[in-house]
Amino acid sequence: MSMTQQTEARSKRRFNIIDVFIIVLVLLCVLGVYFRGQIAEWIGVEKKVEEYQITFEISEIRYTSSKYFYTGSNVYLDSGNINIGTIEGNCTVLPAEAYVVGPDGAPILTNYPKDTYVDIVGNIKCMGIEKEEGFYLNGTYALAPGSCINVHTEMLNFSMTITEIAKISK
Amino acid sequence: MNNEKETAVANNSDKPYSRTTRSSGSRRGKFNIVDFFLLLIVLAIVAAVVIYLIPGASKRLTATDETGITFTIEFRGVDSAFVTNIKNGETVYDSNKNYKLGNVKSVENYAYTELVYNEETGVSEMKEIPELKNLVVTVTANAIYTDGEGYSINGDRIAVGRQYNISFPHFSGSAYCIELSAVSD
Repeated sequence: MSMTQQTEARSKRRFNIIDVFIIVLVLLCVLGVYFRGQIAEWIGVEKKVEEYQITFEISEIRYTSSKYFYTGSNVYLDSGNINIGTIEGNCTVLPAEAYVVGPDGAPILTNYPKDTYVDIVGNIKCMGIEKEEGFYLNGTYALAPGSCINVHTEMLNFSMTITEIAKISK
Repeated sequence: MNNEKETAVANNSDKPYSRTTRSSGSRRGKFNIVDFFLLLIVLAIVAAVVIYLIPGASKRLTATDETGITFTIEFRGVDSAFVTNIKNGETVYDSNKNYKLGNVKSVENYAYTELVYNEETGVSEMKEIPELKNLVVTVTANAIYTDGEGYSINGDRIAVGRQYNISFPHFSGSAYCIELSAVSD
């Protein structure tokens, strides 16, 4: 190998300005992801998250399940395990409503007897942002009244329908 | 000496596909120590971002406790002929993944009912279907408890309201978990 070739090879292996540039670029990308919330705020794209109350309804759940709704329990979305917020106050337990076939074949709205199935109404305190397009849980996950979502607490899995989302006034 | 170098460089520039050019080209494609460090940095960063962004990823890295639990599962509308097929002490399996969940602590059966309209009284009531029964099986098991996530066996969450495909030596079916509690020491 000639001297020229050796010098050329050494210069190829050496840590050069391009490598430094790439490392700095990667670090900046990571910092950008980490501080994405603050960056969005600085440039005025995103507002700060605020406290909201989600009112939910659960239909036709076994009556024994109602005892697992604890005040202060964290509620998570099944998909992605995203923390929605905490159950606020006591949930209201009502006899579950159901339709049965009447004598003329028409459906009749009725209630399940005691100790069978119940409907539950409760509230979850959460953080979110109200945008033009609607409410965003933690600023990222869209939720709206009418949506039925699968959620869980430490002890319980259930499906709930969101009936109202309101800002908590201080 | 300098003249020799200049001549060599000049010769190389005259022959673009000479041996020297080809070998420096192949060296350019070689994986060197700087690439290795860059790769390490990128991997470390990706790992950090995954742990930070994926909910529960950091929790999975934290220590968890193994604890005894009892949970009750309900098979609804089982043919009456099967009510004696589950015995105390038998092993309970998850029939989807075929692993042991625990052991049968107790078995009970009661009437299967459906909500129907009573034409005579004019109100709805629960009507018993004599051919069918509800089987309620209480199972003892060892589970992993993770703060904020609850109990799991073999990585699968155990929670009230979840549906499980369960098998015993002489019975198999789909049941919902209706009760769950930790066994106190």
